[in-house]
Amino acid sequence: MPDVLASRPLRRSGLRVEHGRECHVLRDQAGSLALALNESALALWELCDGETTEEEMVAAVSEACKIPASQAARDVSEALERFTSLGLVDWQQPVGREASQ
Amino acid sequence: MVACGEPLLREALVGSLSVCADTEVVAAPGRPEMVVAEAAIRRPEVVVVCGGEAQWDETALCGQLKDLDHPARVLVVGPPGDDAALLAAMRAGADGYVGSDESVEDLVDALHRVRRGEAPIPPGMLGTLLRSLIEARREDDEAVRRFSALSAREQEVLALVVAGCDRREIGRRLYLSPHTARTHIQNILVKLGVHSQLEASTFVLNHGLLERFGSEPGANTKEAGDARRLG
Repeated sequence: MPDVLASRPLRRSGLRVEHGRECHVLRDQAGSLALALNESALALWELCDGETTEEEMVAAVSEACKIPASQAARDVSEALERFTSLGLVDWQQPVGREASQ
Repeated sequence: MVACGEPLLREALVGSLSVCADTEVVAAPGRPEMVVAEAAIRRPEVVVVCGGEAQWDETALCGQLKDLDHPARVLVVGPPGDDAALLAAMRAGADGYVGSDESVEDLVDALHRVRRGEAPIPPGMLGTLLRSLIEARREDDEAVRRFSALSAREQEVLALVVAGCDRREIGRRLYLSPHTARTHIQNILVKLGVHSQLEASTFVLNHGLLERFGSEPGANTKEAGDARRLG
């Protein structure tokens, strides 16, 4: 079974973010998607680069937002599950030495 | 408490915050050395730190305020859009950050959020902060990995290098010949991936490696051994 925390979400191509003052909107090329992102969701979306693990996101959110790791884990997981369920990210598994650690 | 180096700005902040409901300004020190002393005495719920043009070291102040027996929450007013200043403040323990270009309303809102235990970050800066924290953690992990590759003896030698000892002094303290001490130092530089003793010292200090690994300079030196025998 893959280690979920060591997996790395990667944004699918063809998606772009329109930045507004109050919120940001994630759109696809076909115009069929318009997902509103708040500051936290946008920050996590930008971290979906195929290199950053969910575990790293949780640690950073916990430190930056001064919240317990358990709460950060819930928040990050919810956001990533939403991205995944909408088909916005692919998951990269660790390879080579990292995979065996 | 409002800690601000600029008299005019300090008075404006005090005036603005004093009229807010549920907010009382208990002190407004104008010099950095007074901030920690006032905070220790008055135990404010939140300290708003705003060096202004006086160029205070907000990071050092955050650390000192967090080291108090009754640490206050700290809200830093810093340069707008300055990712490095934001990262430094948050890593030093700040509970929130407001850009100096934001309105008094924004500052009051951030103050209330800090009091509620939230961590206000200026709009658009959270992503960069998270990225910076992740990068910093990766660098720390890599530093720990390299330091862990040193033998116990090499860690002792490195601690003495950081303490400023030359190879003769290191040899004397660890019962080594200067030649052996030099060999250890060369191996250390290779394993740490640095090119000089100065770079090695900076690497160790920047990542707090001696504190993490409990490698105190001189722990197993000739003097320490003599002291143990005498004790």
